[in-house]
Amino acid sequence: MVTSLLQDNQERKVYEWLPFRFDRLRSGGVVVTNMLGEWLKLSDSEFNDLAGKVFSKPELLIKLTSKHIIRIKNDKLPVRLLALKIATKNKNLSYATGLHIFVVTLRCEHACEYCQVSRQNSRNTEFDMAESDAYAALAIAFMSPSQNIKLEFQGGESLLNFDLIKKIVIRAQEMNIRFKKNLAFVIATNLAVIDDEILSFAKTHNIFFSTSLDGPSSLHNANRSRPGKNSWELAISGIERVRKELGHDQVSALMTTTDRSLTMPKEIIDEYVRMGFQEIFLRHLSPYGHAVKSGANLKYNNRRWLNFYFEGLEYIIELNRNGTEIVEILASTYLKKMLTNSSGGYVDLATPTGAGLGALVYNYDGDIYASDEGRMLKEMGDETFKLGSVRTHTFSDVLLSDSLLNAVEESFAPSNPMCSDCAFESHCGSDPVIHHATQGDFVGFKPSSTFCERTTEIVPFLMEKYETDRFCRDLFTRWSVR
Amino acid sequence: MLTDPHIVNFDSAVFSVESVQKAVYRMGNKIFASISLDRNLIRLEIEVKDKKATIEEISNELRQTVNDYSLREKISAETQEVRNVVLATAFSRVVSQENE
Amino acid sequence: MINLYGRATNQSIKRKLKRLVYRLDKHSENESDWFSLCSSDFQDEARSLTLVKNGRIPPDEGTEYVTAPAELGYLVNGDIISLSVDASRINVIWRGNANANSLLLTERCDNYCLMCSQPPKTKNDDWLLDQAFDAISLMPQTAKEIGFTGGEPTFYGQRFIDLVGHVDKCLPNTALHILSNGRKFSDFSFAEKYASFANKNTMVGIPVYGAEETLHDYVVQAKNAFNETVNGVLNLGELGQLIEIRVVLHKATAPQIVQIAEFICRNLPFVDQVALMGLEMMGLARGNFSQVWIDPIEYIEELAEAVQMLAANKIHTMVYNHQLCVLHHDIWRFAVKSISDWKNEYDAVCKSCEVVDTCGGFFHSAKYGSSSHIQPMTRDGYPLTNRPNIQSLVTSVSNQDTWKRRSIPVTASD
Repeated sequence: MVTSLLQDNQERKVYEWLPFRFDRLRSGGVVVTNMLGEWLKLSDSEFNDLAGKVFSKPELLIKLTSKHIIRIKNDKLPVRLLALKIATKNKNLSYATGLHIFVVTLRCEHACEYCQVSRQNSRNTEFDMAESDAYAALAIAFMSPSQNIKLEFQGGESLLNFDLIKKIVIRAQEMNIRFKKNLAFVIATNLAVIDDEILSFAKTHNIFFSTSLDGPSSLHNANRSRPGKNSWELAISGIERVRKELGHDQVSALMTTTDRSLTMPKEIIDEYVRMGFQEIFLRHLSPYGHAVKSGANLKYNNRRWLNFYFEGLEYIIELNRNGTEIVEILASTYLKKMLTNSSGGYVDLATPTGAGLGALVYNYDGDIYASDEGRMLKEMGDETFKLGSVRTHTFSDVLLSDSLLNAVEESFAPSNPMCSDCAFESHCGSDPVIHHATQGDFVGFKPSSTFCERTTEIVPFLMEKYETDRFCRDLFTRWSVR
Repeated sequence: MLTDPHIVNFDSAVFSVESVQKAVYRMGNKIFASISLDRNLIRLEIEVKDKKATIEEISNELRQTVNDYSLREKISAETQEVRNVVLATAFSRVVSQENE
Repeated sequence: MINLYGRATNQSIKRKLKRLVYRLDKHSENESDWFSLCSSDFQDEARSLTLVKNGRIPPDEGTEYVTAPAELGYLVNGDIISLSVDASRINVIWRGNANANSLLLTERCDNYCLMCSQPPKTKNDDWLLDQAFDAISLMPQTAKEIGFTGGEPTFYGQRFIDLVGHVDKCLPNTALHILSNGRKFSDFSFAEKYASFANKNTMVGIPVYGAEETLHDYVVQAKNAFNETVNGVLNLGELGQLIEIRVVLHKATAPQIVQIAEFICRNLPFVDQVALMGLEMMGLARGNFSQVWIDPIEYIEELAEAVQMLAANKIHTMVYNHQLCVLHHDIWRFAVKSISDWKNEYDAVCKSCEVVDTCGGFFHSAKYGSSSHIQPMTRDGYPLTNRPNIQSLVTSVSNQDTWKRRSIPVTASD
C-alpha cells in the first residue's frame, strides 16, 4: 500500500531559512533571490508566509526548497549544492585581464559629436603609439594569467596606423609560440579607410572587425560627421567588403546611443536586421562627450533611455517570435546571471569590476588605464584611473597599483550600502568609472544612480516576461547560454 | 534645519537604528531626514522632497521600508552561520581547482 | 514479444549440472539447429553438452543434449543461455541479434518506486550475479552495448565493482550502461572504487524524480533517498564519471518536469545526458494506477519546455516511449525509436500516419494504459484528419476488458 509520503513528509519536517534577499516590485509581488541569484517571484501573501516562517503550503514549500531559499532543518545537501554553484560562478575571478586594448593612434577623419579622444589632423603622427611602447604593452599583456587573450586595436581611427597594427599582430604571434595562449585579434574601426591590403592581412591572420553602426543613415550621419558626410555609406560598404573577403561573421557592429537615437529604437534595430547582424547591444546613453550632467537631468535622461530600451527590447522579442533571430546583448548579459551559473562575461556589468581585472587599455602615449572610459576621463582632465606606464610598469605593478585597488575595493558591490541588501545584486555589476564620472566617488549614491536604476528596472522586466510568456522563456534561455 | 518637519517614531526595542538609517538612505530621493534617539524611541524628522506625494504615502512607505530592513537583519542573523559554511566550502574548492 | 524463457521439450541429461551458463557454439558449418554448449571455464569439450532446436535428436547415443522449445527457436550461434540445475528450464541471457542486452543482477532494492516495472523482492539472488560473471566471460568482444539492471545493482558493494572491472577486462570496447538509484555512490569511497574500475565507456543511469526531496522520496517510497541519490550524482561528477539522469514521466512527476529540468540545469549541469521516459504499465505501476497514470497529452507543453531548456543548456536529451502524436512537434527530433517492431489493433489509425516509420510505437503493456489521443500525423506535425477529437476510434482506457491491442514484438531488453 502506497503511503502518501508527500504530505506526511512535509508535515513532519521542520524548515528553516537559507540566506536570501528580497525586493518588492512596484507592480506588486516580491522578488526573492538566493545566494547565487536564483530567483522566484512570490505573491505578497506567499512572501508573508516566507517572512513569517509559515511553512504549511506544499506547493510553496517545493518552490522555495528547490530554489535553495529554505531548507529542511540542518539538511546538508543544499549547502553542498550552493557551494558548488558559487564556486562555478566565481571561477573566472582569478583569470584576470583577458582583454587588452591598444590605442594605436588618436588620428581620425571623423568628428563624431560624442567623441572625446580623436584628433582631426589626420597626418599628425605625434598622436601615434610608438613601436617600442607597443611591444612593451604586448609584454605586459602576455603576463596575464588568462588563457584567452584578446588584443583589440582602437583609436581615433585605428586603421590610420595600420602599419603598427601589422607589427603588433606579427610580434604577438611570434611571442605566442612560447606562451601558447588562445589569441584573438579585433580591429575597432569606422571602416571608412579599409582597403585590399588591410583585408588581405586580416584574412591571413584571422582578424575580426568591430565597427560603429548607430542606426539608419539619417541618424548615423547626424551623430558621426566626416568630410563628405558619408560615414554611414562607408560603414555599410565596409561591412559588405569585409564579409565578402573574410566571411559573414567576421565583422560585428556597436552603436552609440545619443539623444537622437532615443526616438527611434525600431529604426535602429531594423537597420541591424537589414544588415544581417544577429546581435545588437542597446547601449545606455554615454555621459561622456558632452558636459556630464548630474541631478535631475541625468534622471530624466535615464527614464527616456529606459523607455527607448523597453520599446527596443519588445520589438526584438516580436521579431524573434516571427522568425528573425536577433539577440539583445544587455538583456542576454543579465539573463546569463539570472539563469545560469556563469558570471556574465561583460566587463561593464561585473562585480568585482571588470575595469583593470577584465581589461587593460594601453594609450597612444604608453600610459595604462583600467578601462576605455578611464582613458576617456583622462582626456577630460581626470587621471584617476591611470594605472601607470608601459615604460615603467610590469603587469603585477599595474594590478597592484593603488588606484586600481581602491577602485576595485570601494566598488565591490557586496560591501556597498543598498547593494549588500539588494535582491538583484547577483545580476548587477559595480561600474566604478561611471559612478566616478557622474557622482564623484566610486560607489555613487545608489538611489540616484542611473546604473542602479537600469538594473532594478530591467531585471524585473525580464523576470516578468520569463514568467508569463512561454516563448520568452525559451528565447531567454537560449540567450543566456550563448 | 528642516523647515517643516514631520515626525515619525520607531520603538528602539523593536527596530535597530541601522534599519532606520538604511530605510532613510533608500528613500533618499524622496525625503530629507534627521535621526535622533529620544529615550526608547528612534525619532525621525522628515521633510518630503517630492511634492506630488502625500505625507501619508511617504510615512507608510517609510514604515514598510523600515520593517523590511528589520526583516533583512533577522534573516542575516539567522542565516549567518550557514552562509559562512557555504562560502568556506565554495572558496576552498575554488582554491583547490586552481592548484590543479 | 520475444520469450526469454522456456521449458526444454526433451533432454537427456541425468546429472545435476555444476555450471549453468553456456554459450551456443555452432556444431558445424551446415548445422543451424545444433549447438555445443560452451561454459565459462572453457573445459569439458569432450563431454560438452548440446542444444538442439526444432525437434532434432543428435545421432550419437551418448550425447547429453537438451531440446529448446519452439518459442526459443530464434536462438543462434553466439547466444548465451543459462540452464536450471536439472536442465529442464532454459533462460536466454544474451542475444547477439538484440539491439542491446541487459543482465539482471538482483531483484533486491532499497527504493520502492510507485511505478517500478521490476518489483523488488527480498530473497537472496546472488546466483544472478554469479551468472553475470560467467556470461560476461562468454560474450563476444564485438558486443556493442551491455546493461546492468535490477533491483539495485550496487547492492553487491565490492562484488558489483568487481563485475564492472570484469567487463573492462573481458569487453574493453563494449559500452556498459548501469541502471542504479545512485544512493550507494553517496559513500565517497565506494564511488572512488567504482571510478577506478569504470572505463571510458561506462555510464550510470540514475533517476531523479523531483527538484527537492519530498517529491522524489514520495515517488521512490523511501526516506532520505533524494539526499543520497543527489550526493551520489555529485560524487560521480567530481570523479569525472559518465552520468545519465533519468526521469519517468507520470502523474506525480510530469507536472514538475520543468522544475526538475531547471534543477538539473542549475545544480547538475555536468551530467552527460538526460533520458525522459514514458510510463510502462508494468509491475507496480498497474497496482498504483491511480497514483501514476496520466495521459501524456496532458503534459505535452511542459515536456516540450523541459526538453528545450535542457537542450539549450547543451545537455544531451532524449525522450523515450512516447508516440509522436502525443509529443509536441518542436521536440520530435529528441524522440528515440526505442521499440523496434510493433503491430497493433490501431493499424487503421496509425496506418495513414506519415511518421509511423520514425515513431517509437507501443509497449506490449500499453493495453493497461495508453493515451486517448493517438492519431495519425503529417510530417510537419499536424493531425492528418481534420477531426479535432478522434476519441471515438480509440478504446477508452477505463474500459480495460475491450482493450484489444495485440502484443508487440520487442527486443530482449524490454
